[in-house]
Amino acid sequence: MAEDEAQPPAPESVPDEVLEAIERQEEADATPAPPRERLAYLGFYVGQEVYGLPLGQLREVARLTRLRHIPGAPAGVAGLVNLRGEIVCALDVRAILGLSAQAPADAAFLVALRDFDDPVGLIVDSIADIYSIDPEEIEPTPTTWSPERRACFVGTIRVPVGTMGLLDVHRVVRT
Amino acid sequence: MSPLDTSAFIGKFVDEARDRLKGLSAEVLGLEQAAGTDKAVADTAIGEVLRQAHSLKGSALMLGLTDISHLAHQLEDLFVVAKRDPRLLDSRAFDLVFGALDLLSDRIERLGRGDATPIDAADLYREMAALLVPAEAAAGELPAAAPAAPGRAARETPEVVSTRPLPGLRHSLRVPMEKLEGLTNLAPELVLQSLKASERHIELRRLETRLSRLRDRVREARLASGDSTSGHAADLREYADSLDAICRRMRAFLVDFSDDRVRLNLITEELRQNVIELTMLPLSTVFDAFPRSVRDLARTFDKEVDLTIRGRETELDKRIIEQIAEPLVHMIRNALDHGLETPAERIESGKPATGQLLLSAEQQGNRILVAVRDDGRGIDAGALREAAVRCGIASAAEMEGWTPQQLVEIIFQPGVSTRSSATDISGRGVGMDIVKSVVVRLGGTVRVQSEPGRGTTVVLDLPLSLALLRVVLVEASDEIFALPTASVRRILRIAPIELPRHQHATSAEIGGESMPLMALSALLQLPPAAIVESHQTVLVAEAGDGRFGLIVDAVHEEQELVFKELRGPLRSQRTFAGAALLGNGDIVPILEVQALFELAAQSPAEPAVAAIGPRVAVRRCKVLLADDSLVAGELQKNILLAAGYETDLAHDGAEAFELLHQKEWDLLITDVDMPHLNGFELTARVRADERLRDIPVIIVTGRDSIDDRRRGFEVGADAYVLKREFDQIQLLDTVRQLIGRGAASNAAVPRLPRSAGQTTHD
Repeated sequence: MAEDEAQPPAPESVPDEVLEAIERQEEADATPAPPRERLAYLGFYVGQEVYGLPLGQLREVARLTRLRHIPGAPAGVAGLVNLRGEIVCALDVRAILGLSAQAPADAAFLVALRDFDDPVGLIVDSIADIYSIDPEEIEPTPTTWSPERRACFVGTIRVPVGTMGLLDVHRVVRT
Repeated sequence: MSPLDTSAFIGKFVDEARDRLKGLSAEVLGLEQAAGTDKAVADTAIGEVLRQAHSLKGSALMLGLTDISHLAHQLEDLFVVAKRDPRLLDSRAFDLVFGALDLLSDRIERLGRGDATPIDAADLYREMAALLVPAEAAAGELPAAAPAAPGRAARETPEVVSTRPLPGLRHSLRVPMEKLEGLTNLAPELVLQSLKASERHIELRRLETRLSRLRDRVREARLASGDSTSGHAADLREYADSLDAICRRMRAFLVDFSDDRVRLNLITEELRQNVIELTMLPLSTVFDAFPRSVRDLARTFDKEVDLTIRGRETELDKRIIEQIAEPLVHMIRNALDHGLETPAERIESGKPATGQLLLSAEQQGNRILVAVRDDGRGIDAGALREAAVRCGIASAAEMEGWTPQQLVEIIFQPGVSTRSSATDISGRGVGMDIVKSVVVRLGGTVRVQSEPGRGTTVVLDLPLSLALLRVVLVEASDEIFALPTASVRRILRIAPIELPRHQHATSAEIGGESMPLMALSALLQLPPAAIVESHQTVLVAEAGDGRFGLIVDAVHEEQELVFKELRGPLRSQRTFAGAALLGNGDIVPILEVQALFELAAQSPAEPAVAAIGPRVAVRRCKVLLADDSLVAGELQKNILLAAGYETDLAHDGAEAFELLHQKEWDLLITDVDMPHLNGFELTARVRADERLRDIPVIIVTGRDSIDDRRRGFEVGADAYVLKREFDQIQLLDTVRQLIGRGAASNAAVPRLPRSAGQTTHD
């Protein structure tokens, strides 16, 4: 046993601006946004692709720790996570979107969602950025995608890092 | 003086009136049973009835509930006359009195719900008056008595009241249920937090060991540097001295912290018990309704019955009490309708005409057993078979090989009734399945024993409290799962069984009973763990439909956990009933026993699983037990064996001390009261012994006084576990904390060193 155990490297934390943006959004929720305003989306990576969710649908973003696998759970369920004393069901976005199966990246994040009766979150590989989006610019999903895949999205939009698929969370959670 | 606002007192009045009506009902029943036999008993009962009725009248009057006070007054009048002339109390009179009590009960319940419609008792009053007229006349024949008006008679009653002190008057406070619920949710959190503090304490001890090792090295370095006065050597001296000081302070701090922790644990446990008791009610709140309903039911069915109630003072969770009333009603009705024979039938079969019905409750550890027993005809196996065939539950051929117990279980199937004709109260084919579903929902089980011609007993085995779920933690394929303790019947070790490769389950005979046997890892489709040593651990679990054996890699401790249902995307899976957080923050899924049983019973063909892994020899932790009670000693030994530890049992302290010297031990578990050398002395000797002083010691005893505990820690014990069943399982938890798990997991956890001399560091 080493005299001093090496501390694990400091966790790659969620960018402060992301947390601040979520907080700002929570405050903004109190006052209804005027129409045609740009919407804030959290962009995150699963594999090589970038996906997005409106900040208003997020509860928090946390590093994924100690995922408890549940044998026999549906394919889309990665397991359970203890999020500060609350048991959250963590969904495997990769499996739900039919991406090639791959163990979650070492620095995976849990994107905990709001507005669900039972706590639920998505496992993503990394956080990209917060994007301000004009709803007018949202385009329909490409017809080249499979119908199952298209059903999980409300549309796509161009962001600096590529085309971001905008997830339909309720659909994702239900599948 | 401003008029009193009475509305605030309605709730209190309702509570009080309920109690009084219950008391009244019980007294009147007693009176009816004692009618014409014992004048003294009857007089006492009438006195009590008068007292209760009078008090009820008084409270009702104060709140302006004149209809209630009037009816209570009428009852008073009737019993005042009856006191002088017991002949008044014929069956017609009792029916009237019970009718009046029903009206009052109904009125009180409505009042409790905010409905203030007064009683309409005009008919009842007429009948009561009619009853009293001839009686008054008869009473008038007595030389001393003038024709008494009811009102006059009533005035005698205050005397009765004043001569009797109120029994068991207690001060109480009404608290909204939500407040209590908040408290009951916090208490388990506190227990968890206190467990965490215990874990931190262990970590702290480990750090202290490292620190003292570092101090030793610095000392060595200092000695090696000689008496040189160079700056380097002076620095070393300074470092060594301050390290010494820090070590001493750290050690003192650890002692204090350990004391704090022990005290915190004691207080936390006591608080948790108290909080649980806050939400507990005596079973009398349910039981006391039965004398009356049994009387009425016996009349309906033309049965004669003596009801005995035991354990009405037994307390359990209010939420359980509220829910078992209905199952109990079903059970009592069944006993009266199906179980007990008519007086004629009983005499014919050589039994007394009056049947016996026993309603009892008793606490066993953290379980409550509620039983309904009758001495009736028993359950007719032939009729059960017919009913099972009629309802399509099983064919006659299928039932050929069934044991009597299996047959009896048929009554829990929905829609089964052995009576061909339905009565208005029972025999409609609902009942026992409802009983079972309620009890299972509450985390309990139902057992039925029946002997033809001798009677039937139905036992509800219920948890004391719903706040926490008691589970056994088991390990399969390096993962921990929880199984509700209520469904675990036995834990045993068997010689390894090669399960058929193509099946989940095989069939095995365990304890003389044939049942499906399967490995938990195979069932959950987890990679099978390597078989360690020459035994496998099997849990015999009981599902609603039968028993089955579950092979696990190890059985860890039993714990009480805050149960969370699995919902959301996991709602459709059936293998797990829920999940819970362990003290270290890990999540443990809780297995659904019924679903496991179904999987085991189906035993579908499965693709061949990988060959069972190689045997790995692992050094198992050795635990020495010292207990002069063979039963207690063997019990602990079995618990430890099942958890994968190697154990030996010494029968007194002296023998234990000898054995300690003969072999290497990882842990000593000792009783206190033993011949030759008691547990305290043994512990003190171990601590004073150069070779043994680092062996952790757990004192397991029935002595639960604070002084004894203090003594235990003073002589150097690492833990103090109580022998009561409730705490016995804590033993494994404590053992694991001190020396790690048994060897059933692949890597034996090395035990924590107590001093630098024990382990080498690299």
